[in-house]
Amino acid sequence: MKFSYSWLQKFFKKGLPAPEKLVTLLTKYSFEAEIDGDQLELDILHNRAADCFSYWGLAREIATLTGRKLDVPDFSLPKKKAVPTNKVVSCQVKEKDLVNRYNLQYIEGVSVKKSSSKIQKRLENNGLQTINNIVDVANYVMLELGQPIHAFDLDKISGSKIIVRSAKKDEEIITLDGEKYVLQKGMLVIADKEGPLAIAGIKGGQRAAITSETDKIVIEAANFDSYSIRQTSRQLGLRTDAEARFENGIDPHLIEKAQNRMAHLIKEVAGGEVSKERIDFYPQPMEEKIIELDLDYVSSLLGVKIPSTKIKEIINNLRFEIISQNQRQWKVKIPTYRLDISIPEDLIEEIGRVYGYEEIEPCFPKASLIPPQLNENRFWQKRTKDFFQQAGYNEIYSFAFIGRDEAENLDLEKEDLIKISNPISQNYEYLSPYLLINLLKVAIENRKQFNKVGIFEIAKVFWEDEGEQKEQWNLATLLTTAGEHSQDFIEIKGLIESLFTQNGIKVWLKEVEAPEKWWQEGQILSIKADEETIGYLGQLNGRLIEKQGYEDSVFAAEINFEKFKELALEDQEYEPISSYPALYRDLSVIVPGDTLIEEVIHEVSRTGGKLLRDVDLIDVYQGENMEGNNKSLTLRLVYQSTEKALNSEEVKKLQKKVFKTIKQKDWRVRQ
Amino acid sequence: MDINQLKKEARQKLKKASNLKEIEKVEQEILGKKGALRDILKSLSDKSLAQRKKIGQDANVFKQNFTKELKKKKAVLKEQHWSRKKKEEKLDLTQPGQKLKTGHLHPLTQVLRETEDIFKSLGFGVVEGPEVDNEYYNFDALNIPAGHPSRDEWDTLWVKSKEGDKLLRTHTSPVQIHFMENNKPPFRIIAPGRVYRHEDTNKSHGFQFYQIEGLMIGEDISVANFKALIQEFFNQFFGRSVEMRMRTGYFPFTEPSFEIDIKSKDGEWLELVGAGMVHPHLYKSAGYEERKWQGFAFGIGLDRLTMLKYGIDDLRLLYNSDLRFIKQF
Repeated sequence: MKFSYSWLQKFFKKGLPAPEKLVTLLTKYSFEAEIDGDQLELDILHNRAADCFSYWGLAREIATLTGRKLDVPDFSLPKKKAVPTNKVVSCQVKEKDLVNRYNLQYIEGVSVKKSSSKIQKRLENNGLQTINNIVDVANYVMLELGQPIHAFDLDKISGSKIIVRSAKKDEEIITLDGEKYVLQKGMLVIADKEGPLAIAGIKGGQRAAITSETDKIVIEAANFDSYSIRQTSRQLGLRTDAEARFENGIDPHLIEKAQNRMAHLIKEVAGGEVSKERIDFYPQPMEEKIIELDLDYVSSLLGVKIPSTKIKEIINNLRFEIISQNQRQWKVKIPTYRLDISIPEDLIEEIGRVYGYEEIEPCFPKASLIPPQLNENRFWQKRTKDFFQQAGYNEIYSFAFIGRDEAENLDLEKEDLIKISNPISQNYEYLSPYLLINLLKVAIENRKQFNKVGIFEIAKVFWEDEGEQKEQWNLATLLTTAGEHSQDFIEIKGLIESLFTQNGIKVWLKEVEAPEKWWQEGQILSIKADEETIGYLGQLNGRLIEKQGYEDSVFAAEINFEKFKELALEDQEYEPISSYPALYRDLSVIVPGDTLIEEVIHEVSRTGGKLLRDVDLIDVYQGENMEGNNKSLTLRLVYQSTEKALNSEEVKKLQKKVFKTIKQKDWRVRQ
Repeated sequence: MDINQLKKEARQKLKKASNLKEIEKVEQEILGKKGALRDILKSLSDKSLAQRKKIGQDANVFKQNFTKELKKKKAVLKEQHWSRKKKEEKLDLTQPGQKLKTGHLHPLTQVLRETEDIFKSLGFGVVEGPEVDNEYYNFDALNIPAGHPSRDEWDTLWVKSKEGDKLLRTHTSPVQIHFMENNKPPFRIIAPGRVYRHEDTNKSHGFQFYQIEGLMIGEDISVANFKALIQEFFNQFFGRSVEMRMRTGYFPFTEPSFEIDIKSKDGEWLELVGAGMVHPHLYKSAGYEERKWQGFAFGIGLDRLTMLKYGIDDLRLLYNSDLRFIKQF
């Protein structure tokens, strides 16, 4: 909000600090301030809006910070008086919960005209339009004291009765600027028997507006429920200066000051006689709060011992009142305009900031040495990220969202996705259930610059399960090269296998049907550990990728990182190095062409038992000399015991068992 | 063959030998177990004792001398071999080294690690919380009830749920409540993580970004303690003594609240941390005994910290996954 430096000066006899000094002071102790031309631009904190959203309030704050004396505006009332307000107008507040205070003041015999240039200029400098002397003075008082004011033309109030009520469904109002608003139930309006005269706390209507013919006016100064005003303003999409003040709350006692000031100023600019008595609906007058202040708590919380004389001085400068002092237990009375202060900590903040946070000496805490718990997720993320980085892959931070089109193209079940009710745009409508969807986009984009793109990401993925929102850490990696094909698959498969082996996890890779449309059918492996699928590895669907204008093959893997972490955490057992020699036997097995290599190795290993320490694939042959579609696998079997030296007789026995298994599987040992 | 013939033949052979292998062959042929000298000694049995003695002595002297000669020639050849090898295998030391083909960690990861390491060294644990959370944890428990004007500070992305409205957390502060509900003080933690806002993307704002939350609670934790710890963090992070400014701030979940600015190398004040003493409402939310505990909480923008560290002037670079950018780190 902008404040004019010269207007601010009017509240002090003594000169204000120079603008540069003033903004530094305010920034440090109150809220951010900058110089903008001959004005001050202030970013008043939410909790201080109630007392500082006005020249008077800001002046009070500056007085506290600088110790200057405030020069109070003239609140004196004119001597000649008109009839009491309730003789000319009556008032009924129906929505008692939404109205803290409602005050009306009658003034008769005003002459409506243009404002003086001084007032016009002040309003314009503060971003307000000038309308006529009555409305302008109302706005002037709002700027000066922070109390929104509204003036009605008494003759236009039908039945001379003001009703404060909730709007009816679809009730309409035309505001001062000629705009039509359709109101809803629950919105607070100021009405007469014909209908709304104003949207309470937000904007006045045209019907009872002040015109050049007006000579009897009713001035409203009210205090509405801030939540209600805020809601209405949001629903109507209508924000005004009055509303901005109401939604942060206002001191209800400001109304007397504001009405007195109005009476004084109207008399000055428009003449007329002010009523003897006002109508005042104020069922529960606000009382000043008493805060119990424990001086030991002050020094404990701030971490500095401020002398009690200094604390007293600060409290006095703040215009708070110490009403009792019992040793280190004080009672402090807080003026009603400080709506932000309701607990001792609020008062301690006041003492701390005015004392100056700069003055507090830094001091390391005296705390017991409790070693923090290891965060396993962070630990394994670090290890995994390092693994990928060392393998030559680059880390990506992609977006957590996917678009509506993507969800459709990929055939994702909408009910399984988490939908954002108010998305930024259609491109970010759902939370992404797989990292690969966005990694693919990233890869395609980067292939314009690089021939080979190998990337990875560890981040949360999201989905909905029977209406419940789920999230999980996933790991995904993706590799694509200009032209290349088979080499990429071997690379990424080797990468994933190494990742698991290095972390002591045994996994099985098994060819499966594509679990989602973006995998290429027939080119996809499931990653299984402990009988549970924890991820997939393979080629991405070429047809779908082509739609994105990309032609090269893409290989990728996506793994449930939380499962990976659990498996990695399991104790890894040390395998003793045998001091006895190993015996090697090579073996060629002829199997049908579609038999999986893994199956053969698995069967041989299983049969060989504990003494068959390792089975390595040495060669695969599939060609002319093979009968039908058969292939020949040459395996090297490594026999070794940790307890004794094996002799060839023992190995022969084991080999026989292996031969038997091969025969049972309808495979053949090549002699 | 008699001994004199053998001597002559042996020396000729040695002279001819031009490499180590050949020398070893000569050694075998002459002095070996089945060598010529042995044959001569074997044939002595049919000679007279005097002759045997004479030839025996002669053979011994020859054996000793020839062994020396062999050794000498071996040494010469070895020397020749090494000097040739040295010449042949001379490397061009000016050729460029082969680049190690490692990948790159995202700058956010690197800065987050550094931050975590510093706080860990100060005794802070690292905790995490959900990204899709309840309105309660993100707002109400933090003393930001519905209708509170400061809710406007957090433009929220909402998610419909059968358990009432859920949201994408707008800050990492809800992790405070999740953690406090399950842990008793004293403790000190940081909670890094991804947060979301309904905001337009520009050079300094995005709808998805990272924060680091900090929380330390004990019996007498104070503003002075916070000042010391945050100053220590800055000094370690920037590797120099950083000038810091603490000024009044406002957050519904802390009381008192403050903002921390640090002075950049160009002498400009940069807003980097929002902080304060934990508001009593939070102790109540967590079910703690009233006014038994004191503590501070703070929030740092990880993106801001990263941008500052590397002189990045556009936040979007951190999230548009351009490898030309990432490969620089």
